[in-house]
Amino acid sequence: MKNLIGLILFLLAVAFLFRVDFIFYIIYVCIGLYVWSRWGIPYRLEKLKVKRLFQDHAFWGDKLEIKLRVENGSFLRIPWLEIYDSVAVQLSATRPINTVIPLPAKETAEFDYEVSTHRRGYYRIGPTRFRTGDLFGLYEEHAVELPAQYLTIYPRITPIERIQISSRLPFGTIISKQQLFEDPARPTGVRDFRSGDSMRQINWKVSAHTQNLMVKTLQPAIYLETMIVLNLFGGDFASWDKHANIEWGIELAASLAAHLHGKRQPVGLASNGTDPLQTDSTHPPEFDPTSGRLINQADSAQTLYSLPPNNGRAHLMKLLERLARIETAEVANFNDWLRTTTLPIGWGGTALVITPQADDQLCQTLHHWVRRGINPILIHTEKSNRFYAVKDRARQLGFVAVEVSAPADLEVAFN
Amino acid sequence: MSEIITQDPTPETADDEAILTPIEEVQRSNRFSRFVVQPMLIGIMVASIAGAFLSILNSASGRLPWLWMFLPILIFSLEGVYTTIWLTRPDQRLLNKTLYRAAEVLLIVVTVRIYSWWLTNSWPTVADLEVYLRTPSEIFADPFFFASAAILFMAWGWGLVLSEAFQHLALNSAEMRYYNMPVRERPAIERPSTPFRSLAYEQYGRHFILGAVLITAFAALSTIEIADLSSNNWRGIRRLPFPAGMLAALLAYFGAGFSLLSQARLAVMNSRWLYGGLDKTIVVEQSWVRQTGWLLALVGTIAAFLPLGSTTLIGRLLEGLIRLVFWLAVLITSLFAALFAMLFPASENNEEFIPEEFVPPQILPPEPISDLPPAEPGFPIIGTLFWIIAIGVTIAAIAFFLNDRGIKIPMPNWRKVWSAITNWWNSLWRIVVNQAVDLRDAVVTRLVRDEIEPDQNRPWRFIRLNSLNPRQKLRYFYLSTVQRTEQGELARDDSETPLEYAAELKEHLPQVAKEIDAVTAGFLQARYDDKEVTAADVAEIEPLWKTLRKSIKSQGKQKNDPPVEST
Repeated sequence: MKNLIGLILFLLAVAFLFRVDFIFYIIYVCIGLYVWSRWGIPYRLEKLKVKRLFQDHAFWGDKLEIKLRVENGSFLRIPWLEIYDSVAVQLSATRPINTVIPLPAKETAEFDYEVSTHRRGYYRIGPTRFRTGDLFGLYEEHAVELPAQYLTIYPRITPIERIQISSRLPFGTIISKQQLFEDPARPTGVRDFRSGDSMRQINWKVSAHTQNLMVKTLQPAIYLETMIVLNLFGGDFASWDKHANIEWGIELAASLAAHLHGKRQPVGLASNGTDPLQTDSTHPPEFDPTSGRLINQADSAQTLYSLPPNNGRAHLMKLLERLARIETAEVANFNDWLRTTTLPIGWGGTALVITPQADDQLCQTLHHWVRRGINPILIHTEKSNRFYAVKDRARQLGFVAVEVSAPADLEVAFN
Repeated sequence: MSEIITQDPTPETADDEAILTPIEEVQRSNRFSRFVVQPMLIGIMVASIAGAFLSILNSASGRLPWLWMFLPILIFSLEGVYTTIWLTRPDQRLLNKTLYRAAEVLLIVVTVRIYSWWLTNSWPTVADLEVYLRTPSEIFADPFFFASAAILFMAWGWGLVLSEAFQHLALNSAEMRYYNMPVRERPAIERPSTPFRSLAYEQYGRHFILGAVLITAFAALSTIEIADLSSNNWRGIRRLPFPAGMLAALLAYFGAGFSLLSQARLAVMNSRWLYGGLDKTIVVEQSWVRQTGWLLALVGTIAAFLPLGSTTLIGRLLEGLIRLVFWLAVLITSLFAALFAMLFPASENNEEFIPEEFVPPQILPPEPISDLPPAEPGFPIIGTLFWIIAIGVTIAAIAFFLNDRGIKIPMPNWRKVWSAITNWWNSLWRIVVNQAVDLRDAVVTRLVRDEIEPDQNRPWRFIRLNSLNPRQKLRYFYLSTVQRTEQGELARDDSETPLEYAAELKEHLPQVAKEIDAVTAGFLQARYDDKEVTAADVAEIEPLWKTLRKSIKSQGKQKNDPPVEST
């Protein structure tokens, strides 16, 4: 209705030339409506307060509710307000907010919807666009946008009750079967003295009381400094179930990390995959329209990274966050990468090498680690007939190889 | 403290049938707007402009009841709007819409003609009907009727245009059904076509602005009066007070116009929200309509308390500015005119103007006035045919117009009448055909018999004299006389005319010469003269014929009797 200004001018000319005062009344009405449309709507939109409330981190399978609060802070009613919220398709448990409402003055409207957290990843929630206009179409519509926020869904963590992972580091907190690592801080009782027992282990008070030499028995313990090494080279995964195998590898890494954190052991992560948030600024990552996750562009330079072992809740969350975002890469072959990389663990540390498949070259590489004092454990995540050969080769080379292709294999393989 | 409105983005389907789902609520609201609110507002808009124009006409020509035309304009505007809505229904898509509109136009013409007769109290007399019968175009030669019909048709057409724009704007049931389905379940083949709603909205906006300009111009014109148009004296312009009816028309037009603009905007937004898959409840539409009303009322109230433009300082300044611009425009135009006059003088050759020689007009002698009497007017066949067709078409149009609206004209009676007419016509035709067949058979029989027995006499037959008319009687007198004389010497030769034969007969029967002349003259009159033969003529000739017959009989007897030998 751009012609309204022309109409007002025409009415003015007629009113002055013919001296018809009542036409001024019509002019005032037209001007009033135009002013209401021209300046009233932007004023209301300026006073609009919108907020998105949700937890930006969620564990796999959590029920996550996103709440959108829209408050009309002006003294005038908003006649209609379109709200478009965009959520990744993979997250949609219920319909996102795509609605239109009238919003009275000084009132608040709240919308909530749930998102599905059954896929790990780094997702974008929003942006949410708010658009409004006048009732007559006399002036163009106005819109504001609530910027997008991000949601991290951690990978699924399979609870592990008990697994046996060997270490060469004594004096830890994990009970060990190896008597070599008896911890004097962990007395478990007394027994009769045997020939060859150290004099320092004699419990003199008990011996005096029983009139017989008694020796303290100590619980053996190890200190398990662990580095999880995750192979995410795309070419190493079988094409028939690639996606599931990738996810299982990451899930396994997260489960082991959580278990070790539960045992209060330091755990770190190294991978040849990529974190989209740590790419170079010339090729910023984009959200995949299909999966909704943040992914790297094909030609972007990939940053390989490692998290040195540490313990504590914060470190675990950081590690899980990395695992939530991590994606496969096609550039760094796992074996080549292992040869060139330096693990941030010292002598006696354990390296849990998670890979979909292994060969003799990899075994040779891990053998070098053994010789350097690192305790590698090869975890094979895809079912393969060749694994037995790999397992024999690993035993010959002085390290352990296990096959864990499903959650049920976890405790069986390590015990 | 602000109240929190919690909206559920996924409204649950109501299990109870009595409770309407949000979509049904919106549809019901749309139906109310579409079928009640919008037609009323369109009717008000159209009637306001027409009323303003009628008010001007009433001022200019007060002796005619122009303002009474407001009622049919309002009624037919609403009729046009509702007809448009009705014609756009899916179940009317097979209806011939052009024919329907033609029937509607005819109905309007007939109604306006009758209404204008009623308004001006000039019902046609018998003489007028005779004139209409002879020259049907005379029925339209009424300026009031003509102008009224023109105004009504313009208002009706305007209503149709606005109504069609709103029909384009409204969501149809196919769109609502399709776009309310989940996206994955929408079959591409069933995707309804999308009308150009933004164009329809702009079309309405243009008509609203045009109408506003017109009604404002009418309002301005209603405040001036030119005392004497023929004197061409602008000082005769007189200012009149602003009429209250015009004020009402302006208020009604702008109120209805802005309300419809809001409705059009809502329709555009509705389609956008539907196509975009936005959840919308009935609250949005209710709030929209309510807020439009409140806003117009608020702005109107505030405007009512503002000082009028011409009384304020800025008003005077603006008025002065407009007058200055007007004066400058006149000045520039005058300057240009003067410049043109200097550059292009009236005569470039500077030749002296030689007036043409005055030639007195030739006076022609008056044409001789024909002494023929004026021809009597014949039967107005063309006029009668025209009116028969016109009445038939009008009845058919009204029947067509009303029939599809559910108003049934009692057709069985018409069928009975029609069947009676066709039966009568069929029986008449059968009689004619039978007679033609009998005649043909008789002629054929006669011809065949003549060919077989050419010399045989015709069979005799009895003729009842009283059953003949006077002309036939005169012919019978002569022919029976000729037949009686055929057997003897007095037989008529085939080549003889009646007068020749009469002369010959008189030679043989000189005693009845007078009777022979009378019978022959009667025959010639009956056979060749178109002058009416009366019973008196028959009565005059019949005794003479009887005398002649006796004379011929006696002549025949004398011939047949054997001669008496004298002794």
